Amino acid sequence: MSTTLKPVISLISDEIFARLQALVSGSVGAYSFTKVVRPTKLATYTPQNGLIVLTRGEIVRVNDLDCPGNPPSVAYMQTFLIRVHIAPSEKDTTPIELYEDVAEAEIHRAIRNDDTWYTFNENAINADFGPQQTATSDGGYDGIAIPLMVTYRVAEGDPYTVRA
Amino acid sequence: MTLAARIVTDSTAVFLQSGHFAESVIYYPHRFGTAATPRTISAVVTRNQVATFNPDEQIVPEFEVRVANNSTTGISSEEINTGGDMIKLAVRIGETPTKRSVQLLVEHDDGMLVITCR
Repeated sequence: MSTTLKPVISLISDEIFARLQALVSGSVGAYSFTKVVRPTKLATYTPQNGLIVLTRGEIVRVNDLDCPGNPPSVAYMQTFLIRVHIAPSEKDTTPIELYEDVAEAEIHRAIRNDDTWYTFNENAINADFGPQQTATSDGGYDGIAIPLMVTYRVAEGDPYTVRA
Repeated sequence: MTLAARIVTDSTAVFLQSGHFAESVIYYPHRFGTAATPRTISAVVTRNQVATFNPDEQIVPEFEVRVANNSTTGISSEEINTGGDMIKLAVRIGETPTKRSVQLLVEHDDGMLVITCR
C-alpha cells in the first residue's frame, strides 16, 4: 500500500514526531532523551530510560466545530499519548517525580515551539495538553504518559483535505 | 557437600551448559559512570513474541532469561541494575542479536537469577 499521500491526521502525527525528535538530537531541552519511536506491528524497540513512545489514544467527533459547505467539513479531536519511560539506576536517590516533572516540562517546550504550535503546520485548529498520567507495567512503575489533544477539521469524505 | 550447595553447582554445570539448554548472550552492565566491560555469559532464554507491554499498549517481545548468580559466568544479584543493564540476544532464533533492556528481576537465589528483558 502506497503511503506517499497522507491524510491530515498522519501529517499531524509526523509533525509531533519531528518536534519530539529535537529532544533526542539535543537541539532543545536539558533532559537526556534516548530515542523517539512510533510503534510498528511488532515493536522492535527496547524500553529504556528516556525513551519516548508516541502512540494514539481515543478519537472523537467534535460536532460543534463542523462547518457547512459543499462539501461540508467535519471536526475531530485526536488524543496522542506521549509516553516517556523513566528508569534511572536502582541506586539513584533522586526522587522519581523530579524526573517526571522535568520530562513533562521538556516535552511541553518541544511541542510548543512557536506561537502557532497548535496548528502543526496549518493542519489543526487547536491543541491542548492533558495532565500527565503514571504508566505502570507488571514490574511496577514504568514512567509517564502525557496526553496531547489535537482538534482538526477535514472535508467530509476526504480526510486528505484540511479545512482550517 | 550439602544438598543446597550441590543444587547451586548443578545450576551452572548442568542447566546452563550450552550443550544442554543454554545459549551464549552478552551482558552489558551499565554501572552509571563507572567503566563496565560487557561479558559473554550462558543463559536459558524463553522467548515470548507477542507479549502485551501495558505502559505503551503495544506488542513488545518479552524474554525470560535465567542466568547463574555469578559475577563471572552469569550476573550476580548484587550487580544487576534494572535501571540500565542490557542483554544482547536474538529476538528470534537465527536473527542478529540486539540489546534488550533488563526490566525486572523476577526472582533469585544462591544459584540463579530469573530476569525479564524486553
